[in-house]
Amino acid sequence: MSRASRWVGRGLFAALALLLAANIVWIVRDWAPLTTVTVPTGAAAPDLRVALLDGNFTRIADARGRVLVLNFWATWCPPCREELPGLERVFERYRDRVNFLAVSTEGADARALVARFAHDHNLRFPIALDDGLGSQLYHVDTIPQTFVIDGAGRVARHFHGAVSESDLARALDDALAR
Amino acid sequence: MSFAERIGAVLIAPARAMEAAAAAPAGQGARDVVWLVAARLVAGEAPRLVRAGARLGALGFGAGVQGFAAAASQVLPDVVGILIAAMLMSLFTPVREKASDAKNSNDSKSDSTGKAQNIAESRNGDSKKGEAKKQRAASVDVAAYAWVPYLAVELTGALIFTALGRVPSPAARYVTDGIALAWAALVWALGLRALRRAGAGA
Repeated sequence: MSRASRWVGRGLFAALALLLAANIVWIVRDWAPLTTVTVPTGAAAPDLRVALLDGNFTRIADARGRVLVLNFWATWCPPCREELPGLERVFERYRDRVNFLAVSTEGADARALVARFAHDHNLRFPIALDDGLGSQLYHVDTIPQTFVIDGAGRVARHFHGAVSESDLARALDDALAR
Repeated sequence: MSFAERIGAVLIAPARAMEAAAAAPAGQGARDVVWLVAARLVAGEAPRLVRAGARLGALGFGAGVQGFAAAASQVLPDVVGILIAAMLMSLFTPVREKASDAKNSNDSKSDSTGKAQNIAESRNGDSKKGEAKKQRAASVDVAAYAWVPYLAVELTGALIFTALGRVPSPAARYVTDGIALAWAALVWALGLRALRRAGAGA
């Protein structure tokens, strides 16, 4: 019995080793997408077409020539909710010179929920709904994240996590001064 | 018994393995299963760990830690399951009394002085606490081994779907989880019986 037990135990370890081997093959094959975790500063911001809350569509490339603040968020995310009032104030201050787009990662199905949230929190900046493509293109796997994209369509700053009003304003001043 | 034998025995001779686990030195089962959980984390979540490493390099310490925590959280349900199983096991296992304690108690009853009775009661109290602690440790060990069948089924399922190059359908996932939980529950029940027997025999 103990011999059989030993072999069954070894079989379980072998299964773990096999699973690891399969994952290593997958890691080697998909190394680039797996290890690319952000759009680096200075790189071209990927173009993205997203649906706005009012049903119209907008593209990142449409903002070319103006600085753009691209924020990824969700209604259920506490740091996003904390960050939104500051984002709204920065929007009010810079709206004449800067485009804003807050992309909710909850998908098109959450349109009513996001619209109600925006109304309840008096959010006036444009809000879009992402079905996953935006998060994929910008490598957003945690939220909130904010990208400041300069007039040439390049990523000027990237904030990982909630961004403070003052940091965002400073980044916008820098991007506008270029 | 070697590590491989202990793990294998849980799968092919669970009743005997649970009796051995109940009688084994405290902490052995927990230690064995901690190794298995770590191996399961590395083997099953290697892509997430690599991505967390990339996040650490590109985005800094906080983002890296967040990535590693997200990878580690994949085995959290297993760990929580083991702890809940251990808690339930210790609830259903009465605290055993050592034969020597029972003797102390009887001696003090026959002793005419109250002082002797107080000393014996105090000794019995300490001993009972010690026994309860030991029994809690044994519950964790036995409950930890009951997780091994769950791991075996989930691992087999993962390997089959990897070999097929397919993502398991929700129905396939339910069937796998059902078999894994049923087998783990059966071994858990055998473990409970072994612990109760060990308690009665002490």
